[in-house]
Order: sequence, then C-alpha cells, then structure tokens
Amino acid sequence: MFTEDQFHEILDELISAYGYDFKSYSKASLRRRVERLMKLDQIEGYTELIFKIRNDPKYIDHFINEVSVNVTEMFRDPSFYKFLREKIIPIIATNPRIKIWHAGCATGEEVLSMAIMLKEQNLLYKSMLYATDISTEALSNFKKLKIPLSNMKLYTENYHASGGTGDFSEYYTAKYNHVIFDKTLMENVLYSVHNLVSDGSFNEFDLILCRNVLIYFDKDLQNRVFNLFNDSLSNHGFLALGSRENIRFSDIYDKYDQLGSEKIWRKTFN
Amino acid sequence: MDDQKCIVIGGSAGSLDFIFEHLNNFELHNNTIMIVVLHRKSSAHSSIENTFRNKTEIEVSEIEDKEKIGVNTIYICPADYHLLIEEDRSFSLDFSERVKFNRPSIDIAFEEVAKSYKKNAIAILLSGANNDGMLGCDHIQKYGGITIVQDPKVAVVPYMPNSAIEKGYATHVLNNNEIVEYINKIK
Repeated sequence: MFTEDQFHEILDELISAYGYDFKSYSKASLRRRVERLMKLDQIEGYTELIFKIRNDPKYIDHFINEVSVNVTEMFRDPSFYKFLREKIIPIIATNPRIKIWHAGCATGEEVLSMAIMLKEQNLLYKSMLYATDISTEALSNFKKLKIPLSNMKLYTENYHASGGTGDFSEYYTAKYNHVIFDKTLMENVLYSVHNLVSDGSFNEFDLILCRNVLIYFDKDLQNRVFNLFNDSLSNHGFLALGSRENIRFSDIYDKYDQLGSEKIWRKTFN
Repeated sequence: MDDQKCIVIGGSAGSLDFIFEHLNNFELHNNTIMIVVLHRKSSAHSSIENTFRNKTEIEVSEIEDKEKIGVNTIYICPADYHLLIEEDRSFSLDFSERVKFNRPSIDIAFEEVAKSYKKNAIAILLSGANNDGMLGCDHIQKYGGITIVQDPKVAVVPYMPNSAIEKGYATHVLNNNEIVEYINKIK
C-alpha cells in the first residue's frame, strides 16, 4: 500500500501536524494498523491519507482510535487476576489510600475488573483508579460502561476462574444485546488522555498495570516507558504487564523482583 | 543470518496429533528455526512449552514480545496473540482483532515469515476445520518460499489443507512421514 519512505512521510505528518510521535512504535504492527485503517476508510493511497490527516481536523481522533489497538477483556488471564486478588491487593490494602494506574486502558475492561475486586475486599472506597489512554474515543466508550452481551459468558467464566465468588450478574444490568455496568464501581475512577510516548509522570502509585500495550512499541520506547513507570511507582510498588511481556531487557530490571510466575514485579530499595 | 531458513507450521483442530507424534523425530540443521502457530485454548499456565521439551532435544521457546530470533530453536506462538516479525528479526506479539475468528492468525504469521525470510521460508499447513493459512500459503509462494500441505487423506480434519490445495497454493502435498523427511533434509 505504501513504501518504506512513504510510511515515514505519514509518520512525519502526524508529528508536525499534531505532535503524535509513532516513530518508536513496533514497525511490524503499526504498518498493519495503518493498512487496516486505509482499507476500512477506503483510502486509495498514502497521499490521500496525508491529505486527510492534514486537512480534516476531525479525522485525527478517528485515526488514533483505529491505529491504536483497543482490544481488551475483563479478567483476561484469570490466574493473573487471582494472584492480584490473593497476593497483591492484601499488601496494598494496608495503605491509607490506594493509588492504581491503568496505563493504556483502552475501553476499560481491566479497570472494571480491578474495581470489582477492590469492592469485594471492601477497599474501593479508599482507592483511586487512574485510567489513561492515548485514544479519546476509547475513553469515552469506557465511560458508557456498555459491553456486548455476547462477551459476558467469557467474562463470567474468567471472573470465577480468577477467584470471584460473588454473583457476577449483580454488577450489571442487561439491556437488549448489551449490558451496562454499575456506575458506582466507577466513582473513584479518574479518566484522562495520556500518551506514553510524550507525556510524563503525573502521580505516585502503589500499582501500575500496563498489559499488552508495550507490545506495540519498539525496544527503546519500551525502555523509556519502563523508566516512566519506575518514576511513577512508590517504593515497594508493583508493576504488572501482559503474559508475554518482560522487563528483563530494560534498565530498570535490577531494581525489581518478580513475584511468582505471573508478570508482576515489585520495586525494591537499591 | 541471511541464509537462515525458517520452517513455519500452522494448524488447527487435529494438528497437535501430528506434532506430538512426530516431534521427537524432527531435526533442525545449520541455523534453521521452526515456528509453530496453532489455534488452541489459552490455559492458565500453558504447559505446552514443557510438553514440547519432553518430546524433543531441540531448544524450545514459547515466544515473548521482542524476543530475538536465535538459531536451531523451535518457537511456539503463545495462545491468543498474533505473531509478527520485525526487520531486525525479533518477534512482536499483537493482541489486535481476531482475523476470520482466529488469534493467532496463521495467515498473518505466514505472511510475516514470507516477508522476512522470502525464498528461505518453508510453510507447513496441517489439519484444521477452517481455511486460515490458505492466504498465508499464497504469500509464502509469492515471496519465493515453499509450501507443504498435509495430505487431506491423512489429516484429522481435512478442511484446512484442502482449502490451500484447491486454490493451488500447495507446492507439495505430503503424508506425515514425508513431511518429517522433508523437514529433516532442510539445510
């Protein structure tokens, strides 16, 4: 659809027009995302794409939303959530306030999962959940708390496999072909647009979750983001990644201990 | 590394039967690597890596994001991720939309191997109940690689191999022992 040089022209245009820097994204996945968007929007060639980016101010939100991957699930990898529920949350529960950052939360299914676990341990009232994503559209979809009914069978199974013992259906109301989750779960959620590429640290957290987000970045950018997380974690804070992600090749590795076989690390004093 | 050969195996329903029966006979020569991309359920702690290890002397790795491709290794694509290959021959994982209801998509994995390995790519398409891998075989051939399709007569579920054969995307159609012989001759 476009050559290597043309691809770079598109990336340059995104920087000069809007300050979005995609140059450190994984090339293999970003190319696929842009090609997918062009097919979706029936854009013939890269000149037409650049023209749209440059001249249609509304197009950029759509571009960001489609190029970033917003696929997410509630209680994905139940064993990970079981570990959080049984081993990690009881540790941070002793803090007077619990601060958690969901970095790259997309449409928020993992934030909802966390809120449910905190509620079940009677900790939600003293927790602050910071839900950030690069995509404005994803965040506004999250705020609707609306999930397709067809996903609920998997989510219910995941919930129970993660150690949830309640009645999962009490957290939502079914309407036609979707469900709406209980708004009170989101009382302590702060939504904000945050770009991991260009935005800095904005608070100190007890737990940062960033699962299946860094896979879309190249190694250098991953390293930069790990340093951002390191700057944003309290001493003895926890960092949680996706099941096939690792901090092993980053320069914060020495300061962290992995807990069990899950992809959760704890910051140590060094 | 430029002469490294890559054998990529794709399969769905019924394909593990072939792999587990013949894995102990697989040999990888020179710096050849093998990538195994299967449709399978993600289990709590996927023991598939250990199951592979118990059946072969060859180094086995269930892929982690940005893992550098080594030599003489069998790489297993993790369940529920698409598999991509970067220009520097490292793996990237991708949790984007399913393709034709599949994640990993064999079509994507084959296309990525085709682009990276070109004439040094050998794709093997096994048993399965859908046509994932068919377009992938087309990519492998277009970039100069070879596609081996399991003979539908011996495949547990013949639909997947048949789809590729009917489109003319099979360089060779081989039975199980012939596939193993073919793999072991790659140098």
